[in-house]
Amino acid sequence: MGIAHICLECGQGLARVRVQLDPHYGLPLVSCPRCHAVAVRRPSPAMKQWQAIKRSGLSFGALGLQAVVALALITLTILAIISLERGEFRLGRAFPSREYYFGLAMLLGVLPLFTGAWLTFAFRHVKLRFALFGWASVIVTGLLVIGLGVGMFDDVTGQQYEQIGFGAFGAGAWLGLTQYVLPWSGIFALLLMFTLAGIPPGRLGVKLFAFARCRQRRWMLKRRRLRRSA
Amino acid sequence: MNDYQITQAASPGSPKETMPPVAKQSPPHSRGEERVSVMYGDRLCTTCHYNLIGQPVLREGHYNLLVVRCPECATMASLQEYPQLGRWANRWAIFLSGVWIILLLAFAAGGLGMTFGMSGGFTGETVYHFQDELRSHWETWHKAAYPDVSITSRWRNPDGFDEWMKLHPPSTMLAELGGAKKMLARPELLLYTFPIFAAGVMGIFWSVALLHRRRLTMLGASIGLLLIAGGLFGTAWWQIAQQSINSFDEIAWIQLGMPLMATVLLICWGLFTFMLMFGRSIARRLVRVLLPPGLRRPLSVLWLADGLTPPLTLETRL
Repeated sequence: MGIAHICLECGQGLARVRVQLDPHYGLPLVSCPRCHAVAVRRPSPAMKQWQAIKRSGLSFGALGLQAVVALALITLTILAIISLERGEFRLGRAFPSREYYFGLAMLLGVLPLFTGAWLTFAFRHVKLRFALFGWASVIVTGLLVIGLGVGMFDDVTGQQYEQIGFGAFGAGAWLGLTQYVLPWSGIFALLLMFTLAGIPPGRLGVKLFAFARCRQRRWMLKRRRLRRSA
Repeated sequence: MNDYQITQAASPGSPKETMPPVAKQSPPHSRGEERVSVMYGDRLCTTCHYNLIGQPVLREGHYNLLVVRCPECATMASLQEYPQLGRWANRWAIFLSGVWIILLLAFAAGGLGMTFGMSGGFTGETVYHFQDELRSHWETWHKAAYPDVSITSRWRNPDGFDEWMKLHPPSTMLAELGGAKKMLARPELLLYTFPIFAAGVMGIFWSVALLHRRRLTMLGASIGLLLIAGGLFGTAWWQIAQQSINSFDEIAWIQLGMPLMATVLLICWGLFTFMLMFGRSIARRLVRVLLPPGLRRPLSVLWLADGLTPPLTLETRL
């Protein structure tokens, strides 16, 4: 049962009266069957609140999903770069195992491809070159933080810190930069080229999404037209 | 003259010429209630929650209003407003407000605890080297002073500790061992990036959580927080300094740990305050990058709170 709606002229119950859309403003009009007074069917503020909550939930859900996917891809990409550099996929075997090929395919194929598609589809409101540049900046910053941290924390001994004091931080940073960040950046440049392969699937996704939305809008318009004619 | 005009004319202290004119006089009605229709939709009685569906809609005689009367408790409900679906909307609003306030208080307590805890823990790690140097110094002194006596206690109340302290006062030990610069040149110092980073993130969180507050107000609140936390920290420092020193870690904490921790907490506070004042623009930038324009509308309050226009169209494409 709908929410109560009473004609303010004659008191007739209008809850069961079908809404006619006003052709000029699109207002949901209700004509009283008894006194022919016209009223606008206004949704209850409580129902409007629910709609607002639903809409907010959609936005926050999209924001959360974007953040989760972004964090997952950043973590996986950095792990992939470090694994490739450390030679975990260069086992030195004459006949590498099936896991070797699977891991290599995941790192060089699936991960960059998915990243490219995600950057193209999820950031369709941003110019693609900005999305790629932003992605590269985030990954290089992550590599820089990890590389410098490892260089300063692990690779320089406590004795060196005692001998050269704060200069050991500089030595560790230089070590981290040359020993880790530069090779990692080279591998990332390679991965970024593979990432470009994900752009066409992403563009296809954008087109399919736009097509689906267009179909949905057409269906809604058709439904509205049918209601008006009824 | 109807009831309204009578009331106006009879009210004391209101001269007739200053009275507002009555826009429309109600036509005379009988005091009875005229049945005009039936309630078709759902509507709950505000007193007993009885569903008034099917009840007769009445035109009451006094004000000519459309009303419906609850058959259970005889409460009269006016129909010239939105139908109230129940009292739960208000109850939920009060409940959610309470939950939000409790969450904010928990976040505040947790954030302060986390910053103090991390800073304290990492200070312990950083001053450990100074503590070791102090112990080595004491051992060297002990071997020289008492070559025939073996050391039985090294940690709490070490052998000959008071004598050693008289010869080497704690206030001079730091300079004697090379100064703070030498003692702090340790990789453990990098651990402080965690509380500093956490303080920045907390600043962004609070700048969004306190959307209705201006930047100056938040700066004032942050200075108040600094004064309270600084007072508590200063009291703790003073109390530690007043206690008798029985071990090397106490010397290390008083001489190096507490000033270091105070400096780190001050840096955390500075970043927190900066992010508290400008974190909303970072949040806005993140929303603009992560969400397409169509999904930004519910978050447009981030822009409206600062008097900005929300970017809800693709014209604002980055």
